[in-house]
Amino acid sequence: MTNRHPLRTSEERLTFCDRYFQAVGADVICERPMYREYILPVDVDKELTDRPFYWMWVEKTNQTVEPTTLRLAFDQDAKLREDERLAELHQQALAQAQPLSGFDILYRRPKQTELVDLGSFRLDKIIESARRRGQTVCVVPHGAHPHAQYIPWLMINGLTRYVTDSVSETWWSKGVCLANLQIVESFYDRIAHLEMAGTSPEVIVRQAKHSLLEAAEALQAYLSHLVAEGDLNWAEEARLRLADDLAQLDAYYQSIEVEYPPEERNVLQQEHAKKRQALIEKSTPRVEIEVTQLALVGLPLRAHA
Amino acid sequence: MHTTLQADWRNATARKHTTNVPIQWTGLSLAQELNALLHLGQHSDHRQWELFQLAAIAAQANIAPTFEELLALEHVRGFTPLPHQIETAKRVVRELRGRAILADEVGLGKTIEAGLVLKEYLLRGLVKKALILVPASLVLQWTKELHDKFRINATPQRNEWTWEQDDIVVGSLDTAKRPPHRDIVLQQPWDIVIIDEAHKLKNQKTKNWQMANQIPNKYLLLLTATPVQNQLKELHTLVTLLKPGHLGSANQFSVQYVADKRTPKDPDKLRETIADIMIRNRRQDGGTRLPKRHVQVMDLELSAAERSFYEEVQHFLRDEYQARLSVRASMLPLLTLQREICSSSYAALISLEKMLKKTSHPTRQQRLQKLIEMGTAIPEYTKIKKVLELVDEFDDKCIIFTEYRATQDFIMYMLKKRGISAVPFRGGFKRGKKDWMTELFSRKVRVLVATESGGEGINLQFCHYMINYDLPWNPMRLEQRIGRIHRLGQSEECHVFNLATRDTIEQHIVQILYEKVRMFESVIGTLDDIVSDTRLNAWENRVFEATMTSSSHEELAAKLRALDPRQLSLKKGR
Repeated sequence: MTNRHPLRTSEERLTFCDRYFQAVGADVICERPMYREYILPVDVDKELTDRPFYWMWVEKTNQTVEPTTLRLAFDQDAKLREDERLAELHQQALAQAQPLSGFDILYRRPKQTELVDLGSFRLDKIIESARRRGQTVCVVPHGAHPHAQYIPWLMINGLTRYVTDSVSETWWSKGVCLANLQIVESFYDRIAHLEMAGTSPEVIVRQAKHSLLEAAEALQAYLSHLVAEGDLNWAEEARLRLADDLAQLDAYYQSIEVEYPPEERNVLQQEHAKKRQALIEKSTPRVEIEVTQLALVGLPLRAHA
Repeated sequence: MHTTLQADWRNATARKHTTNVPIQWTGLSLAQELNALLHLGQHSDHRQWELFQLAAIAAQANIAPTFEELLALEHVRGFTPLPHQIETAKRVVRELRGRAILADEVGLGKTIEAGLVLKEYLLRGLVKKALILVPASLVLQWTKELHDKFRINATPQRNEWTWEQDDIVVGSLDTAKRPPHRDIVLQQPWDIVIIDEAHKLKNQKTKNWQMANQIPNKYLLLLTATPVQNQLKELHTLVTLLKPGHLGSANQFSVQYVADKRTPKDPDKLRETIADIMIRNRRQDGGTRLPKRHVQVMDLELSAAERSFYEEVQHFLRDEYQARLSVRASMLPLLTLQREICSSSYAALISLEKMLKKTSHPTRQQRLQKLIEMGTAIPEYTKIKKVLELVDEFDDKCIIFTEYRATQDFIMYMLKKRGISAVPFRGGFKRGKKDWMTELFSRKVRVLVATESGGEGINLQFCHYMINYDLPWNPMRLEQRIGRIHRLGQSEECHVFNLATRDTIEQHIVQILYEKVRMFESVIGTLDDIVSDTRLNAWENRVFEATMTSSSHEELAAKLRALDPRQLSLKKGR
């Protein structure tokens, strides 16, 4: 697992997008420094452009529509440069289209590029799409012997979130061996360098002695154990803080209750209960474990040894 | 080796159960997904592995590795937050746990701080539903700023369904507290509530406060440059919204912290206690390099006609006061008249005419009639003469503030007569009209004449000159006025002119003003040099002297009255 946050540089984001659009089968029609134009297949378009009503209309009326072209600039220089280029192209197109129609004058504008930086709408959508499309996979190393025997592994990736009034998250990847339920840490990092080829699950689970569910349960138990054994100071502190806050709140409501006539105390108690509940919801320490990815990985016997 | 590890942890778990944190399992449903995995068929190809890898990168890109780090900083667009804004947002998340009064001086970017905090909680997945309550005139501006600077997809509230349908709603407290909105707002599970101009919540008995108190929230930010305006109690009221009991009950608070309305008993302790819940950045702390502001008091001498009119009104007021005291009639009209006479004779005349219409007493009628004649006979007004002089001198855009509609009309009239283009601005204007007036002022018109209520929330950084035609009785409101032009984004030095007429009741106001500033300072920190006149120091000494040598309130009042401001102004060293 890398300690650094990925996608923090424009180069990384460019590489990420190139890989993504290639994987989903989008055509690159323009490739310039820190700039790309991609033509989106319909399924990708639906995921990246956030216009459900448009697609509903397209499908209801059986239209064939022109595919969307994304013009993505990965830094400010590229954006300025390409916007200028597009404006020039626009002028040329207008010059050729003489005489101009009313539509040309009113509505034709130069195409605009969009800046893809961290937190931009488009990158968020691409990330979301990649996460959805990359949830499960079934692979063996590329070029393995056709009759090779595989050690079957279930790889589970996910996030552990330590939550109180703030949150701290770790990403993890574990491998559970389906032959003996061994658990291996940082499994993804150990195999990420391998070139993989897709395969069918039967090829891998042939050697399994345990079911996938058994493996998953073993991992759940293991993760619970890690949480219990890990540093729980943050939770202890959060609990003390919450206890303090609740005591303060309770003392306050007790002290002002006497100032209220008996018939209004009911309302006051309700208000007290609500604020208590909100505090508890906000600050109670808890751990959330989110499984984000599952993979069946077959590692050839010899390679693994 | 793996087997031993396994055995180890199984035993350990069985042994140890001291600290127990509940675990919730989320994400993929294991049974279902595992089953699907077995039936993938031949679909997996190298592209699928590529996507799997990308998804792993994506998941790691979006995590929050620590409790404290400010993720929002990487997500802002088009600007760089200033150091004090970053520090404030960090403290709110790390130490104040998302419940805070943001009390920066006007113009230091409370909006940015609130935006950073909101974005942070959104990125961390701790906030889904957010309610931002701001003055109606600022709803669109806030929405736009959240969108442009923080890429927060906020919706301006349009109807009663907005509250429920949208996740991040910007609306006004005035709308939210009215039916049918009220019940709907109170039913939503808001994760965070942000209230701008929170000094409107300083009274626990108002609908505003009660509404704010009932809106569900986990995180709560109250934004105000002036958490204390008139009384220390107001501080307690605000804190009670955030952390009931932090300053005890209202009674405990007054016993423990309040010496009198405006003086804290133990300023150090109070400051320490509220530091857990309030952050105040000041201009002088550095970090923000705003151009200098020059505050100048224009000491004006009333003309003979104005003087006698003023004196005559004072006599009338004192007599009326006694008369009303004996029959316990309302003093409000007198108070208004008293304040108006400080603002302009014109404003006072309108009130006198109203009184005349109401009264049926013949001698009183006569007296009012005489006063009105005196007022109308004044050939020219000192203050407006000065204003016209100043406006000519500036040769630039200028904003003139007054407290009164009547004075505003009068100034507008006089400016137009001089051929100086001017537009009015006041609180009663609808949102669109306010925007339109601001737009006109920025593009075409030289002078904006604003009343106090119109002063809030408009940003006029393109203007560098301000004239305060009359001084508000509350120094914080003066600060807010100045903050309209002297705030982040101002690139040039600002010049502020406070008009004050010598030998009038304004001297008494200055004294109270001063006391209020002191209270504010002792609790929250020093205030800018709004009342920068050195005369105040001498004045303070005189007041102190008088306090020391008086044995009763009456005597003190007499001595205060006996103080001659002309002597003081001689000491200014000119």
